[in-house]
Amino acid sequence: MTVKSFPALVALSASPGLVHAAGIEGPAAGGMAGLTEWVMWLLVVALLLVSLRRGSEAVRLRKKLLRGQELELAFREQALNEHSIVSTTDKDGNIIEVNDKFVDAFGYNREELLGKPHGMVYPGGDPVLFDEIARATLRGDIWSGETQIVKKDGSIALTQCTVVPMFDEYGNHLKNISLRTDVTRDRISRAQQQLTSCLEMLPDDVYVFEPDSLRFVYINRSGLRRLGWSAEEYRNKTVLDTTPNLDERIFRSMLAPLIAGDIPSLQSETTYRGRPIEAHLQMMETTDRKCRVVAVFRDISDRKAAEKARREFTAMVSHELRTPLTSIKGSLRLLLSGSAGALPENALSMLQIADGNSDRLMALVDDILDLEKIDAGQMDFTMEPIEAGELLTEALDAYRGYGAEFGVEFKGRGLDQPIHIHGNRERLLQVMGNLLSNAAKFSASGDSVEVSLVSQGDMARIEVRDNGSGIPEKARATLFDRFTQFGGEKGGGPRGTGLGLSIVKAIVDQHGGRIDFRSETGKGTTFFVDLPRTDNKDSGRMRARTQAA
Amino acid sequence: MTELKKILHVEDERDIREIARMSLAVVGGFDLEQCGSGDEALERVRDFGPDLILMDVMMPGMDGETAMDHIRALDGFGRTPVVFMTAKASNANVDLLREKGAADVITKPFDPIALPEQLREIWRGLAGAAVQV
Repeated sequence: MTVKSFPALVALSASPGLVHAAGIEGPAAGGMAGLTEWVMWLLVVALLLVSLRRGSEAVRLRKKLLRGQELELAFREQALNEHSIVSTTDKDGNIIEVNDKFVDAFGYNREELLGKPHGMVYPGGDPVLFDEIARATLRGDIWSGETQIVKKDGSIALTQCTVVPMFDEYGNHLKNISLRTDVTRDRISRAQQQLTSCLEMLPDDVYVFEPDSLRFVYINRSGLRRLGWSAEEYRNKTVLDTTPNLDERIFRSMLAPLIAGDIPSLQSETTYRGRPIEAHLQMMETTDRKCRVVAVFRDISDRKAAEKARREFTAMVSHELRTPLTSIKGSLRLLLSGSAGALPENALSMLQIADGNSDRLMALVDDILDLEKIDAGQMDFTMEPIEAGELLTEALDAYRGYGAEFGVEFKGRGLDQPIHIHGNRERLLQVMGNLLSNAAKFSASGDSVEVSLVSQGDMARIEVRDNGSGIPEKARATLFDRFTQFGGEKGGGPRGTGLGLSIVKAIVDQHGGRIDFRSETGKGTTFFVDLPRTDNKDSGRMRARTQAA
Repeated sequence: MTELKKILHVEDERDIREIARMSLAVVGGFDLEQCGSGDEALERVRDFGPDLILMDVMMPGMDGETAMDHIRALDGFGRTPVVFMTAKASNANVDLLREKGAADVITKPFDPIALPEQLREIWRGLAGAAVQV
């Protein structure tokens, strides 16, 4: 028998002692040889016992080592779990494990997450990001980057994320372990710092205060400068400290609809510490869900001065242009009437040309001043409730004589309908006057022009239809532009200024309406003006527009 | 009801004064007195004793509104109607002048042929209002 017959023992250990033992020859024959053989066997047994003991010691040590490694791994895992938000997804991207921090950070419970596609916690599924992570992890790369997570309450958390892919021994992708750190607070803090820096640089005053206590929580540099307060001082102050004798009751009643959410913002022009100010107040909610009032005050001294200068200029131009025109027009009218004595026929003909052109010049001055007023926001648009049919009848009566000069009859249709609009009567009459005079000028003598009123949903539609020469299609794009004329009026009448329709459009726009036309060359033109009706639920919107105007 | 006869016209522009003279004296047949400024009107209003004053609004020195206030403060002229002429034709301006006591407002350019009848119409309206009161 040789140790070779104990192959299991030989194979038991790779220790050098056993390799040596395996090299010993088998027992020899004879008495001495028999003793030697026994000694040898005893040695072998002793060696085997020593080896076994050593082996069991090695196993024990290995077990101890493994236990230590397991413990270390457990500690590491615990440390990781303490520090990071950890989730594991299978190769298909379904969540198979989340740690407590994940649950705590994002508000989901495990049942809501496990087995679900990980896309459920990304805003909109974020396919581009998934693709990027999948490509990296399938290559065996670790992916790191910033991801957004939709929390259960719908808010978004920003996380710094590392995704580690795991493979089996054959290289098959098994799962991804994602380690996250919530960096939302850092980002918000950084964003707040940036925002504060921006607010500090603004030339406008920014005040933020609590709606209940009226206590300031922030005032920017410009605001502090105006109030003469230091950055430390304002935290002990309230809105009531900004203006002597500020009536708290009135101020709170002004704020009430804003706080209640009935209005989105409060805007007003006021005088504050001796300067004209445009104030804009709005509610905001902080990240910790506290309500704040943000007030932005803009010093509009320069704008007011410019507006005043422009108003004065308009008044001056109006006066300076009208005064000589009054003399010219008056002289011509007196001469033409024969008040200054009879004139030869040729002279009368020349005077008529001068008279017609002085009318045109006067109309031009009026139109330019109207446009100037519209541009400067100085045209009076005081709104009132108007019955549309009555307004149109008034316009028809006022311009009937004008139509007669061209041999054109003005007719009304559907004007007795109770359709109400909200508008400025004078300006709407101006619109109708322009449309009617245009229609008369472009109609043949003996024709009629029809003005009709219809209700179209929320709008009242006014139509002015003539059977005249029509407007060529090429003129459509520029018809409402300034100084646009395309010809086609009958001879003899005064030429237009080319400004009328642009004024008409500006007036209709100010009413929240729309003007357009359809025309067929040789058959006529219909202008239609749509104005919001007020005998419906939209009357509030119109009132708001009126106040804004 | 008395007839409108005597008109005091106050206007700084010489050309417009001349057209108004043609209009009111020649076409309208009124007894007309003309002044080039508010100060001059104050000097001559007592002697002339107009039924109605036709006054420009924008004049150098004393403007039309101030001139009206001064004339109204004179004994016997507290109720003399003042009709303003203005190149500022906006409704707001017209309303403002009426609020300040103007009998009416005529906008420039005016029609010199129609002006006499316009003033007679205003005069009749004022007389009618007085009767109603």
